[in-house]
Amino acid sequence: MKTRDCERIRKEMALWLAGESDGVEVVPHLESCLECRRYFEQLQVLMADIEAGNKEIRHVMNGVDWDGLARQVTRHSMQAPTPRSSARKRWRLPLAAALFGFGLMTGYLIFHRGAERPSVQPAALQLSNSIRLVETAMDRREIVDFLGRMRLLLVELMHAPDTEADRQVMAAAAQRLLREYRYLGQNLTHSSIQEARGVMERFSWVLTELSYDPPPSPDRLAAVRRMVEQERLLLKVRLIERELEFTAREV
Amino acid sequence: MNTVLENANPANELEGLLQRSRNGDSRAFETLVKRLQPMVFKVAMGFFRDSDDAMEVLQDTFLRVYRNIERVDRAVGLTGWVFRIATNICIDRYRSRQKRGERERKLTLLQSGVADPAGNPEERLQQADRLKRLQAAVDKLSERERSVFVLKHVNHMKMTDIAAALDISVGTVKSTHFRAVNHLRREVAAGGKA
Repeated sequence: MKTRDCERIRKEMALWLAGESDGVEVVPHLESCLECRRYFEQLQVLMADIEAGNKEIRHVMNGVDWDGLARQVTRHSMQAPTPRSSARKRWRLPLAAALFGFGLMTGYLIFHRGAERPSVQPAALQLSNSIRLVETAMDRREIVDFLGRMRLLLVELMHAPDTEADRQVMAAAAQRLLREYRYLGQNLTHSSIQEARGVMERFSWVLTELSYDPPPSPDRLAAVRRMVEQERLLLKVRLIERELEFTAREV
Repeated sequence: MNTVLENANPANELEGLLQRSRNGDSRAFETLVKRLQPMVFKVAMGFFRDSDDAMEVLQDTFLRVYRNIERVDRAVGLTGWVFRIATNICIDRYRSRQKRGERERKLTLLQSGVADPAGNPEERLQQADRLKRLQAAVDKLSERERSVFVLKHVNHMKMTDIAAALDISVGTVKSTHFRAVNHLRREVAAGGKA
């Protein structure tokens, strides 16, 4: 019959089989408790299954080209977007100052001229809301512009540029877009479309592959094209564009 | 016995690579990736049992590591921090799949019985069935239970390291681990009878 002691011992069993306990109390208990013995046998079957699963994982890992993978991951990571540079933020200070001035003037008109209050919000809150709205709108505009150019590049890619000159042009366009993409990271957060981040990262992968070591070889182009098709990136780019345009109208 | 975190690499060597990576040294970052990628790959395999998924998680993890390379949590250390990022990416990926209703995943690895290609085909099939059942049971665990289970039983981490990587207490890790194992035991036993 299961007792409170059994409950404690079963917790101990799980730790013991996971190598986190010496299980000193487990064995004597098992000798006297049939239910816990059955429980223990089931745990042993489970551990055997887990080990069989791990064996398969090890088998897969033995077939991985780790050096090649590390090179690819490094290249992708180091060419991917970095935190927004100071150049991108330069316009923000004058904009904030202008909006702050506007807020002060509004506050003056409301409180000192006895004008009707447009809202019950304090002026400072209105000001921060205004800044946020302006920033969000600008961020969205930039993303939509980027997506438009990304879509054109994907269309070009799907038409399979075959001459070296065409591939060179494509690599240059990808490099330009990759530079732009580096400024967009935070815009995604501001624009409340974090869900699109995964798709945007795929775009960054496409751009990195196209712009790395130009011109891209026909094989590399074919691999990128396959990925674009499999992940339906052309459709996704259009969907995000539409979503942003639609929500921008709502704002 | 050394912990997984200690085994991963001498801390000062990783620290040196990290410092050089911060200064834009691509070779140092590549070496860092080489050292840490197998453990990230294992975490992802524990979650998804699919090498394509694992490759993508690996890519995303190191992308995030590089972007936030200035912000390594010293309390956890580089390895624990990378484990945390990888686990979070796996959880996010899992969630977004559930949202899209893509619960059915590729189980080619589990069904293939690749670990023992020379064995009896019937045994391979039985083993594949058992693994499939186990993975279905793992899929039913909560996010935290799944994370603890994978880090413990696939990556063989110590409870203390898991606690540091997931930013929870050791007591919570132990109780979560017990719940996860108990659930899996029940599911696997019930499946075996069916």
